[in-house]
Amino acid sequence: MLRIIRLFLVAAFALASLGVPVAQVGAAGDTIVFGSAVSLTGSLTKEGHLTQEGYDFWKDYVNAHGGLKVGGKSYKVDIKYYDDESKPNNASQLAERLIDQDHVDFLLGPYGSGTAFTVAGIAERKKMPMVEGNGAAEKIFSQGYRYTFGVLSPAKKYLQRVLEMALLQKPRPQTLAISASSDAFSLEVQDGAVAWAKDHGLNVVYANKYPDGATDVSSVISAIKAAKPDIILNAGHLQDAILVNKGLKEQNVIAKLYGYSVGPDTPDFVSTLGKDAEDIVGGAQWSEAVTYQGVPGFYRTAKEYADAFDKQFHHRPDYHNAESTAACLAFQYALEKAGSLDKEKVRDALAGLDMITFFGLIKFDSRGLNVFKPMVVNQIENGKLVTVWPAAIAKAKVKYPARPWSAR
Amino acid sequence: MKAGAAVGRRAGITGKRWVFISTLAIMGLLLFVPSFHNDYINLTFRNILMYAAMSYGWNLIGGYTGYVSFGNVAFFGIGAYCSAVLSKTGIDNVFADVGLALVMCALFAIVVGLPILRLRGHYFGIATLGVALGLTDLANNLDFVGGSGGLNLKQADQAHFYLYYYAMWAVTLVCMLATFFIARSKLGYAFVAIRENEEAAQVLGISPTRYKVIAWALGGMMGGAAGAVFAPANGFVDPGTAFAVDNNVFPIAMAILGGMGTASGPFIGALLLSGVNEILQEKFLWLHSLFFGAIIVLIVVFLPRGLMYLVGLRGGVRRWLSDLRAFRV
Repeated sequence: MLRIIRLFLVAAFALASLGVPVAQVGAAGDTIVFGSAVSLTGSLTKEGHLTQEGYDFWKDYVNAHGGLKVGGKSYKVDIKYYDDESKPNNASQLAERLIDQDHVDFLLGPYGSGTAFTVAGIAERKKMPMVEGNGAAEKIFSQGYRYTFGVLSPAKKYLQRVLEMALLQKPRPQTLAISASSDAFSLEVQDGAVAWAKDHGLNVVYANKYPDGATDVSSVISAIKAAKPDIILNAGHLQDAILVNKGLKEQNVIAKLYGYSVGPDTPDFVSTLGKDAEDIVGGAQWSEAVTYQGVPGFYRTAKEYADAFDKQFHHRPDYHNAESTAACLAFQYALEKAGSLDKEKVRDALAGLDMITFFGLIKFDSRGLNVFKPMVVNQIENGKLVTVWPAAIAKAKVKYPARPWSAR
Repeated sequence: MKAGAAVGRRAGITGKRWVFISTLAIMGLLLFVPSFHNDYINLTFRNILMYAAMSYGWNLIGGYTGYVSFGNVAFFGIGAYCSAVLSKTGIDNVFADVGLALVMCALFAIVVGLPILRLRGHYFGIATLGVALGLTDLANNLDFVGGSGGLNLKQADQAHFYLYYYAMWAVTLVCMLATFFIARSKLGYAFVAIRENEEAAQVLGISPTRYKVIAWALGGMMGGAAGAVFAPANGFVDPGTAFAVDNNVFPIAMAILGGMGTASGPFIGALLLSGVNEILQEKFLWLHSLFFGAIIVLIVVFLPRGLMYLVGLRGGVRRWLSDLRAFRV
């Protein structure tokens, strides 16, 4: 008897594991379903959450305003999420799952260049249009892919604007140190900044990388300290920015300007670092201060967007929120323009998009990358993000030189 | 360390015969996975097969020889990089990929294994971990394999997507059969003898270092072959994917769940653990990793000898509890 029960248990186990969960959510009648694997756990959790908020905000807006109008018919919008655990390997499997198992209509990008790169390869093989707002590495767009579009400015530009601003300050900085995490995005950010610095007569006294996901960068900080730079930049993500900032303070490294690629803009940067976050600048895809007047169909200005966002999520939107919403907007306008859910037609409509939105111009070059939208520079002043560059939209002059750590 | 011993004694050196035949039957069924024409199902089962092959690799050294390695992902990584480098030189052929991976992994296992397999027990485990971490760093800093940015391989089209499934299937089948036949040969008896009592084995004329290196090299070749097929299928290799922590831990957990030191255990463990992981990911957007971790802990606590032990258990719950007690301090 026992033997039979055991046999039965083993068989049941085997069947349960073979029976892949069946979920048919996509392509049903009056709903357009988007799919996205975002990082809800792992090292990019915070950024992943901001991405999801940006997507959800657009979804709620569209559903509350009568849905998407495509070819004379109104569709509700839904988004199917999975957690890629911040690992590109998982992202690729989940993308296949969204496409072949859940039958989603279109893909929204994951968070991060590494994951976006792997998912873009799958989107291409499956001829599935994907718009992403969170993978800025040009590597994604240099593969000749036709189905992946990025609404954000390329990684190389992230810190160039910070340098452009810095060179106009008095006393003029002479030397630059820049460290980078060893991921595709951060290395491109570093390359872009170093190339720009060399072209503009800044002396690069330190440029090196540390392992992706490092939890101790003290040796990097020591090397930077020894190089005595005027400007210290780091190319990385939120966790890197926090780590580097803590290290700079611990070793009391004094420079005239501190800037990070991803980090200063996310709400967690200030809440984690408190006073030590003061005077830090960050390159940003967008800020509340930008003055674009978008076309109708969604919130038309950054301020309207930010106020409504704050009401729903109880924090001001950062640029990750905005670029994620912008990715959805690209789909919205492309779908309306295509007047069809046909994937080829939507792809062509995306490729031909040329729209001003609250986020800026959404227009793609032949590679699918939005090189037309400029970056901005934000600085943290009294715990708040203040746009300090470009001068035309700046809310305040940049605090330069930054105060020493003890005086903040 | 002796976890596989009881199974070895009770259920024979390869596990129950009917279990192995069932395993082969399931393998036969998996040959029809591509006929679903569903890339997700295809990829999911390709990953299961990949983990199974890696788990077989670990099983030879960890399960049969009793030397727990925490660095077998090194071989998977070497295999993956072999394919990437071949692709870079214009060779995109899965047979060449696997062939090169087998040679490189065997060489690597011998060169590194000779010094570290002279170590006993825990010290060997620590050394293998060092090997895996060292290789990750090396890959991060070697420009000719793309450094931390990694290497792109030729992007798989739909036909190749299926081809790589069959390739992975074949690799796993070979690993499974090889384990079965090795375990029943003199070689397998030598491995088990070392696991049960290294001194006694030596007295019998078995050179422990030589056989440990053979076990490690054969296991390494299995992991390397899996990596060699994974790389072109994935289309991209970087240190983070080639030497991923998951690829190190999952195969061990799968071998333990299925039953270390058996010819079916790794495959059954891979099938079940991957299946559970997929279901959790579907049902729990936020806490799937937590539940998955909890399941692994429960397995280690209540089924330290794996499912093969349960299959071979005589004497019901009472026997199970008394066996469990023997496992505790």
